[in-house]
Amino acid sequence: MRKKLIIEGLLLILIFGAVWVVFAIFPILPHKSVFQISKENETKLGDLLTRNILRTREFDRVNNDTIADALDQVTKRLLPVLESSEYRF
Amino acid sequence: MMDDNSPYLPLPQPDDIPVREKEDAMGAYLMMFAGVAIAIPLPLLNLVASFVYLYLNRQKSRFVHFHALQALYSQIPVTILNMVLLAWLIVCLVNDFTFPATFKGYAIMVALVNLVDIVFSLIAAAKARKGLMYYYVFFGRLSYHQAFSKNTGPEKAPVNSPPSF
Repeated sequence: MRKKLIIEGLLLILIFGAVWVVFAIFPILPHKSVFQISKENETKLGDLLTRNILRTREFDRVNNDTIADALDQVTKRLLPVLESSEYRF
Repeated sequence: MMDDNSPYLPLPQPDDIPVREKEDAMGAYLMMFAGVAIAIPLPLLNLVASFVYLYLNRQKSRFVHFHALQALYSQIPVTILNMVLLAWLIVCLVNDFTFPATFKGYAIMVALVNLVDIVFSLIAAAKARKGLMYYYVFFGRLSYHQAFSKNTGPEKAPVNSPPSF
């Protein structure tokens, strides 16, 4: 009785393991992520958002030389050392 | 036929089993739907329901004891698999919705196990209602050993004794 119990228990574990391995190696579910987007579409999306922001009436344009100089200095120093963003899509 | 030297008691035949016991035996397999019945799909709930059912019905007869044991034993691995899946799913959701291939394979395997468990439970419930024995792989043998072994059985009634002087 005990021997048969052990054999049947091992058989069940083997079947479960085999099914797991088979479906892990040969996935039947689609791998495509819902967050996937091409670079071209991302650029279009960015342009669209920028246009919409600029069209907003509450959006005020600031014309101040001091602020412009300060931002210019910051961007001159920061942009060369910035690496390209690593997107995970 | 079973000889007298067998370590197991003779099995009750369908005509000898009262209808009430057949229904009690069938009910053991329906405990797997306990979570669905109260609309709380927690994996552990079905296991608790099966355990409580066994505890309440194990003294009725060896036939009921066997089916309640088999239902409980088959629920244990299914519950563990479901709980691991739930925990792994939460980890994947927290980890930026990334689902590795091993997780997908595991999820499919668990879904198949649940499906097989439901099908076999329904078959076993129908058999129990007819007063028949039905043996799962591994769990059936284990339950039979525990329910029909001559060394096991219903517990003896407790006896009150006077204090010792």
